[in-house]
Amino acid sequence: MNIKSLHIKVSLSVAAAALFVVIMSSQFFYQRSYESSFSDSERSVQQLLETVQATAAIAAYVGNRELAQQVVTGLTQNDIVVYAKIVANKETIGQDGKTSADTKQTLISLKLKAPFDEKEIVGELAVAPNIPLIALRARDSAMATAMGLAAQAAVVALFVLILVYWMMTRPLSHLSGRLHRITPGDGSRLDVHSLHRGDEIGLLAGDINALLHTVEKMLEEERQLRHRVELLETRFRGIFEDSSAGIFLVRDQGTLVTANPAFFRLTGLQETHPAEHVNDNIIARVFLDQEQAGSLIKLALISGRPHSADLRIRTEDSEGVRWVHCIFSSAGNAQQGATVEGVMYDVTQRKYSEDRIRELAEKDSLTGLSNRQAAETALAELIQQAPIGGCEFAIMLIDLDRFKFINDTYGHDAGDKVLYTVAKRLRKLVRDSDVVARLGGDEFLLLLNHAGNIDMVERIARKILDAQQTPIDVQPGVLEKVGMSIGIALYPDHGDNPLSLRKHADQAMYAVKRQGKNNYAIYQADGVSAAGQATPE
Amino acid sequence: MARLMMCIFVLMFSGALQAQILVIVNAKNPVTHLEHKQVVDLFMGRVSVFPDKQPAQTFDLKTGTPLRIGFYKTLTGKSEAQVDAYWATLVFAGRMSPPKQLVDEKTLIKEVAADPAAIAYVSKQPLPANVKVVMELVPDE
Repeated sequence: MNIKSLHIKVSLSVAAAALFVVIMSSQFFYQRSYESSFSDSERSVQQLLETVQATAAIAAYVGNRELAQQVVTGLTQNDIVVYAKIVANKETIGQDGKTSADTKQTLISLKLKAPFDEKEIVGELAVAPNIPLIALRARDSAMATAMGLAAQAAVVALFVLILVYWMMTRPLSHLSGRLHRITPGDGSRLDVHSLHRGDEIGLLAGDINALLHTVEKMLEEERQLRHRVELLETRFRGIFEDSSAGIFLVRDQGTLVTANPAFFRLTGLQETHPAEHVNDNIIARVFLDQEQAGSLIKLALISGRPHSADLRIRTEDSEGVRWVHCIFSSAGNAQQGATVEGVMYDVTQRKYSEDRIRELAEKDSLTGLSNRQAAETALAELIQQAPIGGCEFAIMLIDLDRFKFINDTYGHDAGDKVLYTVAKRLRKLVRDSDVVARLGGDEFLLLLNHAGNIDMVERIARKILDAQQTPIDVQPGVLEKVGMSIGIALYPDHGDNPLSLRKHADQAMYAVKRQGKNNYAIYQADGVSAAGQATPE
Repeated sequence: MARLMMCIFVLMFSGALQAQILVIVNAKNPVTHLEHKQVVDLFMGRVSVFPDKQPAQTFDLKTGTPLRIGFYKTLTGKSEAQVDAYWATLVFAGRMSPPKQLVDEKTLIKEVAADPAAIAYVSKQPLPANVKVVMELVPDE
């Protein structure tokens, strides 16, 4: 049994109180009862003496020993008297019982008066009461009283205990047990015996029931709310999961927080082990243009507005570069730093078609070189970009020498073949960064970056002329050589704008044509521009 | 004749019932006077000798005699029944006997006249010479 249970506590308290009352009261009543019982016995002895007083007085009056003896013997018959004697004329005329030293002290005596003369004292009657017996009886009587009291107290305590148990502790423990078994939300309530309607136990149960009701209502509301949230979450998760656009969350350091399957599909990263990306810079791993991506993220964080761009991503397959349009927007500040939400979708196809359109617009369809439009744009850009007094560059204007003849003799296909071959040769002879364009007909333009040095330009021109020594099979079995006239102008020495540069290069080229073709010339400000050296024919 | 005499006596004294009672002894007895207490002690058996240590013999009347009732009442203040009970107690204890009871005063006087140790009581009357009065009792009532 639980030592802390209410019933045990109450029982122990009541028992302790009862014990205390029993001890105190029995002590008090024992004393009282002992004293009264003792004095009762003494009074009894006194009465006994008074009963035999008359006879004893006669015996003493006449000095009759027999009578006296009868009286004392009669007295000692009582067990509360141990000794009795009658004295007349200072002489003991009758005595009975045992005497001892202490009985002498407790003698109770009565003066005997003459039967016919009240004034004359004729003797004395003395008895020794049986003190131990009286005391024993008094003790017995007192003990009986005390025991009775104790029993009474015990019975009362027992009744109190039973009533307290019945009226309070049992319903309380019943209540607490029921409450212990109730799980809020299961709909059960405390029931109270009708005996407790209106009392504190009934009120307590009622309040607990009200509390249970409130808790259940709140739980139900909570449950409904949670259900709605779950529904919403499922919907959003569906959008997130099924979206064709890659959606991802990164910290400003570039580590991945979360991403949807489309993200992994697009980037080719392993979705199965997201943990391994935790400390990676996912931006560097995903984007080829990682610096641009990084700056977009910073912009988005600083401005708080979305920033987007077409970016290239790394792919392991050999299909070529893949492009994505990526929108970065700030997703608020978490504890571990600012986070950025990114949405990316594949724009490779669009990018390629855009490229194709641009190519169509900027390229010469026959040779694959830049067209006039592109060349002019490139020239203008070059001039714009070149810092004043900084880099220098050269332009070469080229015209084929025998093209009209070949075209007229062998047909347009042959002409086209010549143009195509020359274009290939030109493209091969200069750096990739240099622009090679066909301006139209048999006219070509070269923009040579960083070729400010005249020697270097001349060397290139010579190499170009040398390359034309190889004949071109314009028709099966027909080989023809084409020569070219090259006019060169240098920026900024020979012009600081596209128009003058073109004009001066043109002048130099016509000078070459006048002087016999198949050579190059660098524009001279004084008019003659035949710095070139004739290629051996 | 004697019976008639007695009747006359009784009638004569019944009128003077409250009259004095005389305690008488033999004329030869040296005692001339007795105190009230001495008479009580003699008649109640406490002592059996006269103050001069001469033995004494008490004589009484029959129980129920008016004189006897008067005598004890006057002497001890007790009723006759009480006195008889007193004696009964003593007799029952043993060795003690009450005064010898005689039929009438005449016999008493005769007995006292014959015995020098005798003592008895009679109603006040002329007495022969061989008895003498040692005390007179006057009833209260």
